Amino acid sequence: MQFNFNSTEPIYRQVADQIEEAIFTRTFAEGEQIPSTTEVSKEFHINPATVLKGMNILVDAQLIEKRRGVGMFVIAGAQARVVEKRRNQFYDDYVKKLVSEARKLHLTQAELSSLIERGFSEQ
Amino acid sequence: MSIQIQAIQQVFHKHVVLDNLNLTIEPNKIYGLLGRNGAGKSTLLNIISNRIQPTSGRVEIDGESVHDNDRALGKLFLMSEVDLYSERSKVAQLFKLTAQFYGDFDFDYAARLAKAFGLDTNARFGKLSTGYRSIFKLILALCVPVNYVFLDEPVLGLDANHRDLFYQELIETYSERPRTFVISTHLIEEIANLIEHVFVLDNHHIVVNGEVSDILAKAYLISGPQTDVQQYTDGLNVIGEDHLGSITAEYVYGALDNNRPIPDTVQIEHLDLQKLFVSLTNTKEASGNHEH
Amino acid sequence: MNTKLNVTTRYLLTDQLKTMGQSFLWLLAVFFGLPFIYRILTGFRFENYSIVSALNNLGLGIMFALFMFVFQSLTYDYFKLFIQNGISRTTYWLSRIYAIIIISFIGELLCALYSYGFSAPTRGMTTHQMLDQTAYMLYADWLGSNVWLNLLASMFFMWIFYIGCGLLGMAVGSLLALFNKHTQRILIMVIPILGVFALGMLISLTSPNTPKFMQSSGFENFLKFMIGYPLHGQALSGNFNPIMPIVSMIVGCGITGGLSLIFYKRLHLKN
Repeated sequence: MQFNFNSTEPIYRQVADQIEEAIFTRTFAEGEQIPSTTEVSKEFHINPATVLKGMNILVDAQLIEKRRGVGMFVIAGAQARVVEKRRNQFYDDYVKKLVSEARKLHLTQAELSSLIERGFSEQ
Repeated sequence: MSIQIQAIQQVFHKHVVLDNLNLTIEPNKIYGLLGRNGAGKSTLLNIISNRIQPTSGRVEIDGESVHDNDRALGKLFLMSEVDLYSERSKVAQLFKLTAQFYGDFDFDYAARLAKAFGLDTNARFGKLSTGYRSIFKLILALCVPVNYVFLDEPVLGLDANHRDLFYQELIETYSERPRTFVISTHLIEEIANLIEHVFVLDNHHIVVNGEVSDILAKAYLISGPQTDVQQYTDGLNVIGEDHLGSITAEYVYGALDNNRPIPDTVQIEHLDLQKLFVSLTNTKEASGNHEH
Repeated sequence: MNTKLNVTTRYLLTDQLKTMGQSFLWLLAVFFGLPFIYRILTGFRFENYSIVSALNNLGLGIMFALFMFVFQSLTYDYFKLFIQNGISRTTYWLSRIYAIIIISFIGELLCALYSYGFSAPTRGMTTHQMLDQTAYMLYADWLGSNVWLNLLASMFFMWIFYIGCGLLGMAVGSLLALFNKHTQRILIMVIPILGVFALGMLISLTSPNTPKFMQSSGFENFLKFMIGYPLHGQALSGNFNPIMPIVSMIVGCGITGGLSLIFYKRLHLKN
């Protein structure tokens, strides 16, 4: 996990994003326990209430669950849920920006499409 | 259950240090008390702990005045920059003495902390370096059985490793036994994410009092070409500005005007706590920030 | 007695008994060690110098009274420690009162043990002869011919006297503790001068050379009343009434104790 404390995003949001990212990349596998609030707090000097607020976002999104007296665990199917969510946000998060930047650079739709094809073939 | 600071006024030699201060300190929260040198932070902490008596106003803990009240005073501990212990006393003796006065003390935790920080408990207090005096007083503060702990410059003289260790131990003990901590420090960046609530003391008044996330949510850095930035921030609460070539950055504290279109050339970001603090306390300089 | 008062009283007691004991040993070392070392170094023999006679001439009671005054005047260091540990000013004050009462009692016990158990026998004096040489001499026979009863009364008398010395020290010390170092120095110089001046006034008022109009018999009578001067019959030493000075001292204790409470309540941390 890494936090960019200079970022404009509130810390609790960053906590949620970082854990979500780890679930997405399967760093935290489904059914596995994730670091406790205190562990995250201590490691990054973040108020436990802030960390908890971040984790609660993920609880609400049904990515992690609290097991009484044990800790937080990644729910089965969480990774797929993250994928679905990111697919839904892909247009807003990436495509809109891409098109807006392309317009500023006076790239045509055809030119942009061919660049995307090139990206697919090269990577 | 809380500490109420009501209409505190402190005048030293006809000079107003604190002017009609009102604050509430709630249970189980970590607070930051920020202010420039001479802003009156230590004076405020000394009033709360009844070490000095305010010119007027009162301080209550759980509904009881702290003034000359053993029970109320026994609920708080102030780790202060000044040393109130006898130089001849040994560290271990002072642990025992504190245990007697406060009725209890976590000796196991104190021993673990002393070991982790490398504090020799057989040393006399007077022989400790500035850093180790801080460490000794921090250990006391973390091991006394009180619900309100005030830390005035807690990391004074501590190296980066010990500061890191202290913040970790603070979170650890806070998680195990939630209680209130009020931290007064100049190292704002180090505690910016640690504190839940912040007080900023400036020019004898509290100028900021709120949850850190709420405060930062309405602290903006607006940058771009000067005319565009000024046009956008016109009428907003601009607390400071920076210039880099033809780029202007203005710091705004308060709500933005949502009806105003944001020019393409203008960027809006949030400020961090340290920048917000510097901007807020700089603007008041002209109206006189007296040092003691 | 609540627990905090208990703890502070015990702390003050042990700390003061320890420091007073240490200071006393130092004084003994200076009094007896120095002439001895001087003799060894120079070979010079003091005529008539013996440890026993030196010990006998030791004004133990006066020294203890002085100790009480000085040690009870030390205010600020204890205040710092106590306020750091959440002890209120009133509890601090009350624990000092308790400590003074107990230390005075122990002190008088030791003084009496020394005077009547060591000093009198080595000088070949009876207990009654010894009693006649103490500050209690004016009252030594008031309780009749039983010397032990009178001795007990004298111990009570001295106990109250030491408490008074302690309380006076407390009042002066706490008054000084309210001021900064600069003002303290001025006060330390001014107070004794005023004291000497007041004493001079007292002496001149009671002396027969004072002009008639100043020789207010009312004041003189008041003083006589306070020290227990016999109202009828001959004013023989030993027959003065000790109840009067004891009551006077207790009233004095009340006043100094009350004053010190006012000063203690105003104690504050100095920069």
